[in-house]
Amino acid sequence: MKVYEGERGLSGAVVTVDGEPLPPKSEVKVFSKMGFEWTYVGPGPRQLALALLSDHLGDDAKALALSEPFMTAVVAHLDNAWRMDGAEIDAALAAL
Amino acid sequence: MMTARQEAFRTAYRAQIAALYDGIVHVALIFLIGGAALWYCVQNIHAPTWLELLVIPIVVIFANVFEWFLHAQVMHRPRPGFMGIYKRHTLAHHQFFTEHEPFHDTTKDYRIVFFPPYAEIAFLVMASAMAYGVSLVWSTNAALILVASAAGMYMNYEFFHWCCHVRDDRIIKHIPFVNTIRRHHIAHHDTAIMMSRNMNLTYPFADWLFGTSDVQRGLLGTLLNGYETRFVRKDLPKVRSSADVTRPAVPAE
Ligand SMILES: [Zn+2]
Ligand SMILES: [Zn+2]
Repeated sequence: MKVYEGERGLSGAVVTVDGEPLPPKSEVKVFSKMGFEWTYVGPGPRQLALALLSDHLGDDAKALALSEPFMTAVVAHLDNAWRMDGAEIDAALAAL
Repeated sequence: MMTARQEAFRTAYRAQIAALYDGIVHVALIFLIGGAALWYCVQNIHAPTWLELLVIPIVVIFANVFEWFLHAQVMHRPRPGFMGIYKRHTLAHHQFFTEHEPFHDTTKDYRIVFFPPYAEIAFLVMASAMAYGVSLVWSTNAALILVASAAGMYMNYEFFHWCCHVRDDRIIKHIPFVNTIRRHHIAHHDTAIMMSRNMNLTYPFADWLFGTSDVQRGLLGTLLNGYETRFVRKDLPKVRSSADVTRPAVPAE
């Protein structure tokens, strides 16, 4: 199961999947040109929600449709440094 | 209590501070520049009218809303052209100081407490540009009072922010307004609310006005709340999926 991690630090607000940079999925939709962010509702968190769901679900259209509620319920509450696996994303999606 | 992550961040941040950096010189420069601007303006104000003196409260309110806006919309949001201030604040200041351990250790840490002096110069240039307009349509006195008030508010901001991050509160906790902003700002260092609440750093007027304070009180109660936690909202969010494994389970009082 994939592991998603994010951390704010001197090198930026960095998000990885299994240790590799998480693709922002700009080809699906550009919400933010300024990279990922979290712990609030806005363009950066919206881009992160799309990228996480797209990578996890493997379905860009479904990821785009679920990105707004997923951002509000999950991404808007992530800690400075956070860690989620696929099971946690599934559980959060089921609770939407 | 400091988490392992915060400790690691502090070590990494301190390692990249220039060896020549001197915190006392940094602070002296800020108060020298601000003090000189204030002194120059006051020296050149002659017999101001009551109407001209009204510029002082107007600047105080304007600066309060400006500080709130800048903190909420620039220091906590990645925006084109302003990434430096966002990185310095959200990605550094808020990682160095948390609500569990919000205090600096040495004057070297002033590097992350105070703005660089060029920020003050930029602020004073902006105020002077506005003052020039005021001098054209109104009076030189009003223009000088504007710049003097702006310089005063800037130094007020830096001093109050330092009061929030200094460990020893034996005196501070008894000073009205200072004790309020100290609790207010340390609460803002909680990741769960840092992107949305407690954006004032002098007097929480704009936070009260725009409903972004973590306390639910009237204006006077909000301004003079001190360390009181009875009025803290019960519906504040909590963070989830924390990778900070040593994050304290119970927030410190
Ligand atoms: Zn601070
Ligand atoms: Zn902040």
